[in-house]
Amino acid sequence: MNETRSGLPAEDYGDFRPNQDALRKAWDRPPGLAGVFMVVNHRTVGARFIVTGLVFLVLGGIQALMMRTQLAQPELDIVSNELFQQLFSMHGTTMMFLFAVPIFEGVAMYLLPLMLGARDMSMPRLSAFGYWLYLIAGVTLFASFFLGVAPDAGWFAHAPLSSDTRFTPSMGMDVWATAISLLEISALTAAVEIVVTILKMRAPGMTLSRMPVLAWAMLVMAMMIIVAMPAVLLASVTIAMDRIAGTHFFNSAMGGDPVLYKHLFWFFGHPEVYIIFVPALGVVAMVLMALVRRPIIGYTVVNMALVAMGVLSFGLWAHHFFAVGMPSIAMSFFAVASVMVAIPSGIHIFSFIATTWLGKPVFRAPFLFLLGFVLVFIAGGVTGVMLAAVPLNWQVHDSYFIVAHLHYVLIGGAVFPLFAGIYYWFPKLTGRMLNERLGRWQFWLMLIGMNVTFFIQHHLGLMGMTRRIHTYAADLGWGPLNMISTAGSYILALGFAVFFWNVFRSLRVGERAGDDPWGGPTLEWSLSSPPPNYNFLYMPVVRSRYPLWEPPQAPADRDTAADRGIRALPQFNDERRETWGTTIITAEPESRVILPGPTIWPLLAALSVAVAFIGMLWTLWSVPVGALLFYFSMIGWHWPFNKELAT
Amino acid sequence: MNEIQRNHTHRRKGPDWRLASRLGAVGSLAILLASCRSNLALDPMGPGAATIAGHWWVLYWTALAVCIIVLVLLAVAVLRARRRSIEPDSGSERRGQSLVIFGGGIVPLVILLGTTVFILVGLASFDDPVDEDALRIRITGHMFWWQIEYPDHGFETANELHIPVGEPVRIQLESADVIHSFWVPQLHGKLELVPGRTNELVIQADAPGSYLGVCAEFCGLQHANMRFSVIAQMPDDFDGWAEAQAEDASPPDTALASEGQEVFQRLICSNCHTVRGVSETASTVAPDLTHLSSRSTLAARTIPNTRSNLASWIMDPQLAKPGSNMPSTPMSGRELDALLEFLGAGQ
Amino acid sequence: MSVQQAGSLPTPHLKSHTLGPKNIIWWGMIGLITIETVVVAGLIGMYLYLKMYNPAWPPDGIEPPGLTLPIINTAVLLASGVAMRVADQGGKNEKRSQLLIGQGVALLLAVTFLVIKVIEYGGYDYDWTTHAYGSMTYALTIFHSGHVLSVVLKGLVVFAMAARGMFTRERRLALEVNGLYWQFIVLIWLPIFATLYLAPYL
Repeated sequence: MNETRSGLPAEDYGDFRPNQDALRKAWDRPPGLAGVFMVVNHRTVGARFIVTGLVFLVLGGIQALMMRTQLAQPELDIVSNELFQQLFSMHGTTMMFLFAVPIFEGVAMYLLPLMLGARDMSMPRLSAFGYWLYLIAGVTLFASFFLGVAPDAGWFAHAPLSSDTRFTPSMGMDVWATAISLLEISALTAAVEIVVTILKMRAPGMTLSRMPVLAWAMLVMAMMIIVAMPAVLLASVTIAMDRIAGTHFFNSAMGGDPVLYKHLFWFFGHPEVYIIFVPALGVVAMVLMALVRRPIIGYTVVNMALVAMGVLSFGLWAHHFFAVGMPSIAMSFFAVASVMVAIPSGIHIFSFIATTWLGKPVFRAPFLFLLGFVLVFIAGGVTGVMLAAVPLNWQVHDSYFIVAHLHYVLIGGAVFPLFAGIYYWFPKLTGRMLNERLGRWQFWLMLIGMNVTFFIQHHLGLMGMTRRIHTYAADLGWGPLNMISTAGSYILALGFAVFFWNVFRSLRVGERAGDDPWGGPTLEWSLSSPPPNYNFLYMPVVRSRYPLWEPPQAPADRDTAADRGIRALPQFNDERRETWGTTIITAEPESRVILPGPTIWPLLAALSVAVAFIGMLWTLWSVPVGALLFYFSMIGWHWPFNKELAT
Repeated sequence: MNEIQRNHTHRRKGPDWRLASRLGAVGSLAILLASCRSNLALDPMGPGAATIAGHWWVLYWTALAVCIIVLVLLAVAVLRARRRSIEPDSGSERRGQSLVIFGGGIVPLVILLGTTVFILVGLASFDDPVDEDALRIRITGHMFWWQIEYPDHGFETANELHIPVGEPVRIQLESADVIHSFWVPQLHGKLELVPGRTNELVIQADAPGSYLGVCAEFCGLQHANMRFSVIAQMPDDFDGWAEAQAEDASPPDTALASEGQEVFQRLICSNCHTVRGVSETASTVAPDLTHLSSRSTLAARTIPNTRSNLASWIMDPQLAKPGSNMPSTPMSGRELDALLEFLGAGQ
Repeated sequence: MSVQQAGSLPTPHLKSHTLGPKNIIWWGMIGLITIETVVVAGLIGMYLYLKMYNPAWPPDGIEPPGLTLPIINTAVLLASGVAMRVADQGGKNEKRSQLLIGQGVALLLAVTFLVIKVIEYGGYDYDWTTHAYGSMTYALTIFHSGHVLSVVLKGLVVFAMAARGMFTRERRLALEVNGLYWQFIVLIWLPIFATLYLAPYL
C-alpha cells in the first residue's frame, strides 16, 4: 500500500486505520467560484505561485526580446527611448520580483509538506493572503505597463532619479513603490510560514540531520528573506514618501543622501540573488540524487555551505556600487567578502561532481538541465569573483559585462535548476511526464541561445557599452556583436517556447506517471501523482535521511521518536484538518496542529492592503482607509467562529 | 524495476561527444574573448586603465583555468559514472567527501586568498597621494550634458574635456540633478557624480588622441546620448587651447553676427546659455557656448559639429534628442542664419 | 512495534491546543516581531547614517528635542507593558477581573502615550518636509506610534474576547500572542527613544 511507503512496513500500523472518507471530506475544496477564492490548500496555492511565476517569466521575456530587437543595430527606432526605459525597468522588476522569488516560494509551498510528511503548510491562510497580494501587485505593474505609465527608473530605482518627481514625472515610479511594497509583504509572510513549517511540522523522527537538502535550502532562503526584505520595504516606502509626501530622505539639497538609497536597496539586493540561488541549489541536490541514483556526497558540508551563503551574502552589498566614491577601507572589506562567498558555491559544485562520479547518471531531461546549471553557473561565478577586484569593477560596472555576469549566474544558477525541478516534479503535480524529446530540444536551445546572447556581452562591456541605453552610435562599432546577441536571444526564446508547448501538450497527452517515475528518495514519491488532498493517508514517520531508499530498520531500538509517533497516531481526528506538530531539532511528536479550511478572509485582507497601497497613487487617505479595512478583515480572520477550534 | 532502471538499458548513445562539444564550445568562446582587441578597456592609453588591464588578464586566465578544471572534472565524473558497473563502496564515499572538502573548499580557499591579496594590493595601488599642483578640472553632470570648468584658467566649456598628455589631472565630479557616472574606458575606471558630494578622479593620458567618454549611470531619457570626448594634447598644444578658451568671445564683427546676437537674446537663448564677454547668464542649466565652433561635436558627442548639424539641432533639439532639456524654438531661416553667424559656425 | 503494543511504552499525548513555543501561531508572532525589529534597525540605521552625513544635526533652525515629555511618555508606555503583564498573569490563572482590569489599564496608558505624542509633536515647528531630519524623526515616530495605535485596536478586540469569557487556562492563545506583541511595542520604543532624543545631543 503506497501510503505506508515511508520506510515503514504496513503491518507496523497493526489494525489502526485512518478514516479515509472523513479525510477526503475535511480536505475537500469547495466547488465553483467560491472554491477559487477561498482555497487554502498548500498544493493549490503553491501551484498558483508557480504558474503565475511562469506567466510573468513569459511577459518579462517578451520585454527582453523587444529590447534586444531595438539594440540589434545602431540607431534603430523600433522602440522609443521612453518605452525602452519602461521595458528595462519592467524586465528587471518582473524577473526578480514577479518570477524568481515567487516561483521558488511556490516550489517550497508545494513540496515542503510532501517532503516533510505534513498535510499542509503551517499557516495556509497566510499562504493564500501572500498569493493574492502577489497577484494584485503583478497585475498592477502590468496594467501600468499596458497603460504606458510603467516604472521608468530601473528595477533598482536609484535615487534621486526615482525619488524626485521633477526627474520622473510619470506615475510609473509610484506604481513601482506600491507594487514592490506589496510584493515584499507577500514574500515576508511566505518566509515566516516556511520557517515555521520546516521547524515545527516535520514527521516524527525527521531530525534536522535527516531533513532533505531542499528543506535546508528553503529554511535558509526564508530566514534571508526575513532579514533582507525589510530593507527594500524601507527603500520603496521612502521613495514613495519623497515623491508623494515631500520628505527629503534622498534629497541632497535638504540633508538627504542618494547614497543612502543605494545602501538600503542593495543591502536587500545582494541577499536577493542568494534568496534566488539558495533554493535552486536545494532543487539541484534533490534532482541530482534521483537522477544519479545515490545520496548526495557531503550532506553536512552542503547544508553548512547553504547557511554560510545565507550569512555571508549580507556582507557584500556595497560591491554593487564600488564606483560611487567610497573610502578604500570600506571597498576592501566588501571585496574580501565578495571573494570569499565563492567558497560555499564551490562546495556545492564539487558535491555535484563527486555525487555524479560515484553515481549512475540517467541522461534524461532533468539531468541535462543540471549539467546546464554547472556549465553556465561556473562562468557566471568566476566573472563574479573577477568583479570583486575593485579597480576592474570600476571599469566594467554599469556596462554590459555586468549584464552578462548577472544573466550567467541567474539563468545558470536559477533557471536551469528550476527547469530540472520542473521536469522532475511535473509528474507529481500533474500525473503525467513531460515529453523527453521536447525537453532535449528545450535544453539545447536554451544552452546555445543563452551563451550566444550573453557571452558576447562580456566583450560589449569591455568595449564601453553601458547598460540601460536605448541605442548607440554607428561609429562606435558595437553593431555586429549586438546583432549576434539579439540572434541568440531569439534562440533562447525559442527554447522557452518549446517548454510551454511541452507543458500544454503533456497536460493532455503526456505519458502517465506512476507514483514514483524517477525512483526518488524522499516522501513525496510515496504518494500518488497527484497526491490526494490530504496528502498522506497514514501520517508518516521517518527513520532515515532517505525514507524511500533505505529499508526499514530491524527492530533494534524501537522507542525512537518515529515509534512514539506511530503510537500517537490514533489521536488524530480525521474529521478536521490536522497534521504533526513536532520539536525543532529531534522531531519528537508533541502536538496536533489544527489547520484552517477554505475561507474568504485572506482574499479580503489582501484586497484591503491593496487599497491602502494602490490608493496611495491617488491620495494618502487610502492608507487609513485601507488600514481600517485590514483591521476588520483581521477580526474576521481570527475571530473564533467555531468554538471547538477556538484557541 | 522502475522506469529509470528500465530506461537505463535503452539509453541514447554518446554523452561523450556531448560533453566534448560543450567543452569545445566554451573553450573556443574563451579564445575569442582573449583575441578581441577592440575592447577599449583592454586598450589602455593611460596608467590607470593600464594597471586595470593588467589586473584583468591575471584574473581572466585564473578564471578560465578554474572553469576548465571544473568542467573537465565534471566531464570525467559523467563519463566514468557511465562506465562503472559495480556498486560504490564506503571507501569511495569517503574519497568523494574528501573531494568535496578539498576541491570545493580548501583549494578554492587557497586560490581565493591569493586572489584577495592580489585585489587588495591592486586597490591600494590607486591610493597614492595626489599631486597638489596637478591641473584641476571641475565637472558637473547635468541631464544630459557635461559642464566642464577649468578653475585654474578661469573658463568653462561643455562636453569636450582637453587634458595635457603625460600629466595626472584631478577631475572633481559633482552633479546638478541625478547620479551620473564619468567613464573613459581607455584612461581609467569610472566614478560617479552624486548630488550633494564631490568625488575626485585622477586620470592621465599617455598619448595624444581623442578618447570616448560616456555617462555610465542611468540618468533618464537621454542617458544613451550623454557622451563626451577626452582630447589629450601635447602640453604646448594644450596650453594654446586653454589660452584661447580663456579669452572672452569676440564681439560680433559683422552685421549678420550682430543680428544673431539680437536673435540670441530675443529668443531667450541667453537666459540659459552664456557666451562669455557678450551675453552672460547666471543660470547653469545649459552648456556654455563660448568658442562653440572650437568643439568637434554637439549635444554631448552625439552629432559632429558641422554648420548643418548645428542648424538642425537649434531648430529642433527634441528631434535629435527627445527628452533633453532644450526646447525646440521656431524661427525663420534668416534668424537661424544670423544665430549661426553669431555662434561662429563654419561653412 | 505496532500501534497495538502501545500499552507497555510511553505514548506522547498530542495536544491540539498549545501555547508558547509548542504553538505554530506563537512562532508566527515571533516571526512578525523579528521582521519589525529588522525594520526598526533599518530606520535607526538610516537616522544615524544621515546624522553622520550632515554636519549639523539637527540642522540650523531646529532645536534638539526637549526631554521632559518623552521621558514621561516612556514611563507611560513601560507602565502599560507592566499592566499587560499583570493582565496576562490573570489570564494564566483564570482571574477574570485581573485580566480585564489589567488590559483596560494597559489600553488607557497606550492611548495616553499617543495623546502625549500628539501634544509633543504639536509643539514642534517643523515637519517631515522640513529637512531630512524632519523626515527621519517623523518616520520613526509615525512608524512606532502607528504600531501603538494598531496594538490598541487589536487590544480592544482581545479585551472584548476576554470580557465574553472566551479564555481559559489552556485556551488563551490570543492573550499570549497579544501580550508578546505588546511587550515588543513597549521594548522597541527604548532604542527608538535613544535614537530620537539622545542621539541629537551626542
